[in-house]
Amino acid sequence: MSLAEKLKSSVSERYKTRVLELARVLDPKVDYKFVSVNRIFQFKEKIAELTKAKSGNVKLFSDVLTLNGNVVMFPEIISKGELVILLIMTKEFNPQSQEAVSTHTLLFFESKPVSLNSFYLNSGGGR
Amino acid sequence: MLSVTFKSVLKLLANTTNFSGLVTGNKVTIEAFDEDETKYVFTVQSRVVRMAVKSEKGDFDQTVTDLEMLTLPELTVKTVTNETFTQSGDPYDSYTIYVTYNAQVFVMVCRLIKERALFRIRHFDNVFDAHYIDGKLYFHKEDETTIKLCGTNLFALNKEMPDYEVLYIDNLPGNITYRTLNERFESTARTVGKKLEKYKEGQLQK
Repeated sequence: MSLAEKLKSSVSERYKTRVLELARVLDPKVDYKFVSVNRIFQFKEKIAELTKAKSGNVKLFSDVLTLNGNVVMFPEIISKGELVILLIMTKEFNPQSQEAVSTHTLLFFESKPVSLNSFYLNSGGGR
Repeated sequence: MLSVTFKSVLKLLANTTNFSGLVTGNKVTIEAFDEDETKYVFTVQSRVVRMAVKSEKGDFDQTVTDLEMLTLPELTVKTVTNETFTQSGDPYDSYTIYVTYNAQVFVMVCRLIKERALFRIRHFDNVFDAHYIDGKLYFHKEDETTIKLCGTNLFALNKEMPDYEVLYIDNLPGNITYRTLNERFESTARTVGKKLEKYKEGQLQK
C-alpha cells in the first residue's frame, strides 16, 4: 500500500483530500508507523509514549510536527481540532546493539461524532 | 509554493499565540497568483484569515472558517505587507516586501512569530527538518563517524542546496533554544560515540 493510500485509510472520507495534500510533505523513503486514536486522553497518552524511548534504550531526541489541527506541547499538551495529525520523530540509542534507531510515527486523532443510538442505549432510555 | 506550504504559513500567522502584533492590531496581507493569473489576497488579523479572489469569472471575499480544509492551487507569492496600528486603531507602521525568493516570505513570517519555527525542507529527493532560531537555520547530517550540525540562514542555504524547497513550517516547541539544540547534539554524539562538527554557512567551526 502506498503512503498516500495508507494516509487515506487512516481518516474518514471528508479528510481524504487534506491528507493527500499532506503526503507531499512526507518523505516517501521513510517507513512511517501509523497510530490512530479517537479519544483525547488516548491521544495525549500516545504523544507521551511516542516521545519517550523504549524500555532499555536511551532517548536522544524527539521532534513533533503538527500537520493538521493545533497542538501545544509545552509546558503541557493542549490539543484543538476535530482532526489532529502529528508527525513524531524520535531518535533513540540501543546500548546493547550499539545502534541509533529513528522512528517516524504519524499519530492521528479524529473525534468521532457521538451516535444518538449509543447515547440512547447508554442513558438507559427506552426501558 | 505548494498549497500545503502556503496554508502552513497562514496557519502559523493566525495561530501563533505570542504573535504580539495581533494583540495591538497587526494585519498581514499576502498577495499571490495562481498559474492562470488569478489574484488571491489573504489577510490575517486578530486570528482571522480572510481570502479575496479576483478572476475573470468574478470576485469574492470571505472569511476562511477552516483553513486546513481550504482547497487552493499552487500559488506564487508576490507581496507580503505587515501593518501595525496604535491602540486607538490609527495606522502606525507599514512595510511591504516584494517577493523574488520564497525565502523572503519565510523570513518575514519568522520575524512576526518571534523567530522560532520548525521547517521541513526538500532538496531533490532528500527531506530533512531544520530548526529556525533567532534568524538562523540549524539542521544536521550524519555519517558513520560524524554528526555535522550546520548553522545557516534561508538565503545562504541556497548556495549549499540550490533550488531547495520549503515544504512545511510549524511552531517550535517553547523549550528549544540554540543552547538546548547544541546540548542535544553534543549529548547525542557522546552517546553514540561520534564526533560532533559544527558548521557555519558551510565552514567548519573550530
